[in-house]
Amino acid sequence: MSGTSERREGSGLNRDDPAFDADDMDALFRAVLDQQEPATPLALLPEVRRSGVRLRRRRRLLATGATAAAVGLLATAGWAVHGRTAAAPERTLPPAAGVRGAPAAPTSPPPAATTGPPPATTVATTAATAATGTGGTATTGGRALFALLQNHLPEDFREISAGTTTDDFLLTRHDGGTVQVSRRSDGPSGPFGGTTSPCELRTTDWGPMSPDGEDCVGMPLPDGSMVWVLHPLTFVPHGQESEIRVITPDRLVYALHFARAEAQPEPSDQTVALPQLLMLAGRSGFLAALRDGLGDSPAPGSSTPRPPSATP
Amino acid sequence: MSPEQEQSFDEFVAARYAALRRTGYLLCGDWHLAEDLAQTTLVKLYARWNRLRDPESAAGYARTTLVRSYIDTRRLRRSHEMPSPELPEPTAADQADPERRLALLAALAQVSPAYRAALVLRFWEDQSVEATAAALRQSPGTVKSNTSRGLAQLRVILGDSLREIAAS
Repeated sequence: MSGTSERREGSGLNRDDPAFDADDMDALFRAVLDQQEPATPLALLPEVRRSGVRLRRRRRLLATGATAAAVGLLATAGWAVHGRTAAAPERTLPPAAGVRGAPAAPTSPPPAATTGPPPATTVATTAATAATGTGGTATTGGRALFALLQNHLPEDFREISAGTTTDDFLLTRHDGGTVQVSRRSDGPSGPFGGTTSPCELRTTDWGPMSPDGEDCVGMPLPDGSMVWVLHPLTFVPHGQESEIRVITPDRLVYALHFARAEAQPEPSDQTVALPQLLMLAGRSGFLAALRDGLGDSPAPGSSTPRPPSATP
Repeated sequence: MSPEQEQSFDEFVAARYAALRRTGYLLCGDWHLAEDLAQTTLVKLYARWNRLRDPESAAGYARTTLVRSYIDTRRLRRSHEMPSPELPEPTAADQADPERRLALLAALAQVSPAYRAALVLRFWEDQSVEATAAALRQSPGTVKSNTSRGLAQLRVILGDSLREIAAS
């Protein structure tokens, strides 16, 4: 506990408030804290790091979306000012991100050497082209996982769109909520392999390891890998994060993480039901798609193409 | 983040986690919730650590984040939970005079969250009116009046006990 004198040294506070009654209040607070404090939680730092990385990704995703929207608006305004209305198929926009069954791509200005504002859709168009295999450098893994998710979208969702990197996607639920999907590899899983549930407390040479999650359900894959679906144990309300975790026979870990993308989701918001994740993980080619090209993502803000927005 | 940044974050957590959790406990009166508040704070801090130009500002950022997280939590809980007047049972971990401590906790719990945040920031964290106002996104005048009202509430609840605690 911090002592009064220690905390007040050199604080130079403005104590001109007539209601100021520092000594009484300090004594009260110290009396309240006069008890044995709980131990520092196990695995505090790893959990903080993991959630911090997720938060950073989420912010990046939101910022990218806002930028794209702003650029789109500016571009539209710019074209309107210049009165360009003719259509050119090769310059058409890809479907709006995350819009299911978007109508045929809206027309956009001709590709002539422009005197107006640059077409803000060029990068997105290139990305769409590259991701569909006609060019570009999008990683195979990004495309494969995107296609698999697109073709086998869990029933809670109605659409999928690209994220900020080839390792991120954005899913939209039927209830309108958005869920960020991100994949990662965690390296060797330690001495336990895949047969030990990540929902169990484990004893190691370094002491007890707290469970990684709850509600674990496991399933072996034909290649000997083990799949677990779980709700990670984090500080967010139960159900707002879900995960598929695959541990291969050589103990490498690959995970697909689902988290609400809203800045401040309501406590009742859900991501996806675990049985649906188990079904997804059992799809042919899931592990190959999950691990292929993992980590090849471009740095945020680079122009490396990404999978296009699409609908199931 | 660079290894140096990771290391400095580790050092910050080692040095400040306990203090953050204590402040959280004074705000909410529950160790589990205080842990959540402290962890939420550290997560937000980690997400931004590589952009903190002045490492010395981390403590202030963490303090502000903690208090705002508490206020946000209170807003969420207000719409989803029914308040319970019951106090937690004292545990074996409680040291001397647990009854008095529980009585004080109960008294603090009756102080409005906004007043309580002002009291904790000013009297426990030793923050000036201006710094408290910035952390709570309030005007200095509001902080002053909230502090006065919070103290008045406590005096009504505790009566002479507040002076006795200070004298003991």
